[in-house]
Amino acid sequence: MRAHTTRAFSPLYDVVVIGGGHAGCEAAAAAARTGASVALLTHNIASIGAMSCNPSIGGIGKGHLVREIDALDGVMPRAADDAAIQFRTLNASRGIAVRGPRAQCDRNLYAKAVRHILRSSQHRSLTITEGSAEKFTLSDGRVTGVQLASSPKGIPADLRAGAVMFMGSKTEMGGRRGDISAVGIADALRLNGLKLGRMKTGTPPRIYADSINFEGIKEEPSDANPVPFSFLTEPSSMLVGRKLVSCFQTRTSIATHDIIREAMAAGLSPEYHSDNAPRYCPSLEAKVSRFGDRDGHVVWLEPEGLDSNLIYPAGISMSLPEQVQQRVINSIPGMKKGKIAIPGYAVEYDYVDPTELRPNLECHRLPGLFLAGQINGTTGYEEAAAQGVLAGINATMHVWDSHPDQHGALHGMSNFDCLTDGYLRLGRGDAYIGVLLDDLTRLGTAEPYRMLTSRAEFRISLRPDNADRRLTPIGREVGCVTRERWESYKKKQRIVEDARNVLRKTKASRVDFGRVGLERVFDGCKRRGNESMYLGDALLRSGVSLQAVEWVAHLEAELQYKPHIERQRVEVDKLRRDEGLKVSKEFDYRRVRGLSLEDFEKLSKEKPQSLGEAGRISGVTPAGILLLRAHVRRQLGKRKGKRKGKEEREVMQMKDEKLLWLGHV
Amino acid sequence: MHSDASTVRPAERGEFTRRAFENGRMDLTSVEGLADLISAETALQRKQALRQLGGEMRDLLEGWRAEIKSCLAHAEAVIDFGDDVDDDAFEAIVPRVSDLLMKMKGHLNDGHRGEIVRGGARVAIVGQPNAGKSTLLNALAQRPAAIVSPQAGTTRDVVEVHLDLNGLAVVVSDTAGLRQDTADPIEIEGMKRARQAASNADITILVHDASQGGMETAIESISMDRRGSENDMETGTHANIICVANKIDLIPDSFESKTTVRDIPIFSTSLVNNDGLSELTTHLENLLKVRLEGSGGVGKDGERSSKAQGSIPVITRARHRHHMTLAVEALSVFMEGRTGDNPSLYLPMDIATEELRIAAKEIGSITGIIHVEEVLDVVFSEFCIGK
Repeated sequence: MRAHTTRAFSPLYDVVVIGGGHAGCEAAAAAARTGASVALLTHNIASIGAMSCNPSIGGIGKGHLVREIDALDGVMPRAADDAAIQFRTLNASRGIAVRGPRAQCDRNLYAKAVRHILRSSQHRSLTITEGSAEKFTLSDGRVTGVQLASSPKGIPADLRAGAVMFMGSKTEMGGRRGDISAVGIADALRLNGLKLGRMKTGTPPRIYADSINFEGIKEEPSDANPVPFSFLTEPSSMLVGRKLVSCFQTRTSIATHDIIREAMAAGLSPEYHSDNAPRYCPSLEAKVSRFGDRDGHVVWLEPEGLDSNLIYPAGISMSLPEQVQQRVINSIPGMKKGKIAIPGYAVEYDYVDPTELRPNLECHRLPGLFLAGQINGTTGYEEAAAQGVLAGINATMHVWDSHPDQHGALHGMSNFDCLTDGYLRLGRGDAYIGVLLDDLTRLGTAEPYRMLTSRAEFRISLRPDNADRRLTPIGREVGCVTRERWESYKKKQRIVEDARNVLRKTKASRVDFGRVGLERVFDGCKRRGNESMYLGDALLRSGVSLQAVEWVAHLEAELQYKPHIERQRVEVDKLRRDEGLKVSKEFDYRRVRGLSLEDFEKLSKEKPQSLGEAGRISGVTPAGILLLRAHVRRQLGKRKGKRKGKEEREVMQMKDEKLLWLGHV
Repeated sequence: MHSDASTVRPAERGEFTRRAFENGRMDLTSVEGLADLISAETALQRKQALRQLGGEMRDLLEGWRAEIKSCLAHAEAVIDFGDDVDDDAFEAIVPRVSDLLMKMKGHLNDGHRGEIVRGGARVAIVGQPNAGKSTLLNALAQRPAAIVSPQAGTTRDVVEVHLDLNGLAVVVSDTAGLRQDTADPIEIEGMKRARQAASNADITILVHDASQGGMETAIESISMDRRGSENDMETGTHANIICVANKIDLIPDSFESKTTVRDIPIFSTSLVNNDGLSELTTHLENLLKVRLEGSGGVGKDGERSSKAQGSIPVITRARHRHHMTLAVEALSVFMEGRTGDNPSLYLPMDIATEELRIAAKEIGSITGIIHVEEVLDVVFSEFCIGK
């Protein structure tokens, strides 16, 4: 025992993460990016990146979290951008601050993308290994490691670590209730006095796509201009080489509700110990018993992947017997002949009352142990991942903090308020992640916690579009943001700043605004007479958007087409000079070689006195003008050339030599 | 039981009230009502404080906040659960917000009655030098509060006296005399302050030396000074001016004096002899009563004035008015942003909803239900309350 204790001073890993779900992956990755050596323990490497419930990422409030995870260089956003097969921005018309980017993902592509990112060089200090944790190693009331059921290759069964993160107790697909090790760990938590609770969640039956008749139900195609989750994903590349699918919308019918009511009356609903089911994602049974008066509830038919024949019918999770589920499915328009591939079910699971946690997600009663994900009473991939990122960073800072000699503590040295306590403490004014952590650790939760925009008091400031600006500098300071992202962030901020200055400093008059139909931006203004307004201020008036301000489109075009505009400007200038080129009235147009007969006739008849006049003669072709111009210029050049031809030839020769010389370098 | 002295200590100032507040037994307006009750000096102040302590104001404000919260819930539902709740739910709250806005505006438009009762009505005495302004002040105060002398320009700064005028708290300001021909910088500053006091006052008393003439010009000039004063919005300027024609003992009895000029009543007095003082005091009292109790109706909008009396709780502090004004502004922005013929010009839902949040927060700041830490310190340090 003594020998073990001494070995604990030089643990094999800084951080051990138990559980390879969304929280576990993000936690392990964040810890690795922050600089910790990390072991990620999972039962099955193949299940890493699995989407155990619906095959989509993001949505209202959740999309905000994903953008924030990205700002801290997390895994989920990039994986979702990679694996997306349908994009939709929810709430697109309801305001920029509440827009919810959402993507339907191919399950296989998503898992593949997650594994790819975890194995990439930014996570090189991360080891993923199969194994199951039996119990925690404690020393002086602190968690200093985990005992494994068996010793995986190269890893001792007595795994010591500076910090342990537990992301287990994840309810897996197929209805497994946690797993053996998670049960052991849950016991360990209970034995140490942590308050545990039970929650319930459910999943709908999966339907064979080829048994559904999509004719006549509402199709929801992908957005034409998808918005990526990751600030690193180039929006213009989103559609390149990507196969897209549609989702479909149908509704339950009165017949559906009758079947449910009948089955519930017959006592066919399984009994649960807990009523803590999510209010925000109720089972079909709950919908029918609570809102029985409604004639139908929306059902989204979501494809599970490009090569998958499965459809995930979102909105009808249920746990009735399979035959009843089959009747329910067949009562819904489009699924009259729908066949169930996997029936729906509900599961109960343990969770730790999150008020047991400090704001850095460390257990009050078990220092050194960090919890994140469903174990903390949340529901949803995004909520789990967001906690994972924070737990990963904070576990690493915890290790650094306990060995300041080796790492130098971050204590009190930061420019950021949220780092002055020795851990990353995002507040309600910083991020949705901050709202999530504050709600959980301060208030706890009695039902599965889901992120909503209404939970954010500072909703107008915590927008998806500025997540990077809010969090990437903090992430950089913590060390969890790669150089690549940091450079890209700085570049974007410079561009934004320039554009902002243009909008702030460009004034336009009432007449200018009137020309683009925006005269009313002056409505209610006190100024009279020679009114003008900065473009940036015009945006404050309702109904004005950047798209509507002509000058912004102009700016965009000017920047985007800059090389072409430059080239054309040279030509235009030339043309202007040429306009003034004189043509003699007696000029014999037969001398212009290549002039078409028609042009020749017209020019000979009209006898223009300048190239400009020639150009305005109707019917004369541009090609004819160009030929005439070349001829006139040649004549002009000959006359000039007689004067200084020799001199020019010498200069030209020197220039050519220089160019040749340059060309060789 | 431990009666050990170390476990017992005297309560700090306002500690019990603070605890009552912190434990949700009292809201901030009740706490303020209690503080007002303790410091009340007049019957009307006590009456008002008791009503506020009893929760009248809280009930009104919480009613409004509940309505906003209910509207907010609809708006948030549309934003967070757009798949299940459609935009109609958002449109449905617009008339509700409109109704509430009307109600709140009505309360704001109360002629500052509550604040006047609580802080005392401000009465400014102005006029030419040596007209007898300080003599009037002393007569009202029934004590020599200001120095009086036959010399013009004795009073140079504003002298304030707090009075209980038959149950009404009144702050009477005696001011420096107004005249044209002076270069004394102190006197000029004094006159500036006098004019300011006149325009800030709820009621201005012009004291004029009847033996000197030029009274109509003086009245005209005082009306000008008060023009645009917020205090006259409801009643009109003339209703808040009283003219005193003093020193009638110096003019012949045969002199026919006017009783009004441009609807402004004129009281003939000889203040050194206490002649005509009781008529003046009675008139002042009546004028203040009308203003403070909202009964009768002085202004042209008689209907509103009579409606505003009695049962409706009033705004008693600038703090209340401040937050209520901000709430009204927020709701106005909401209304402007979500009504009109062209929905493409509407405020986006997130911004419009933010205005509702602001309104709820501002009203909550009055009762102290939310976001109160900053006001708490002020409230509890300002008063010695509730042991």
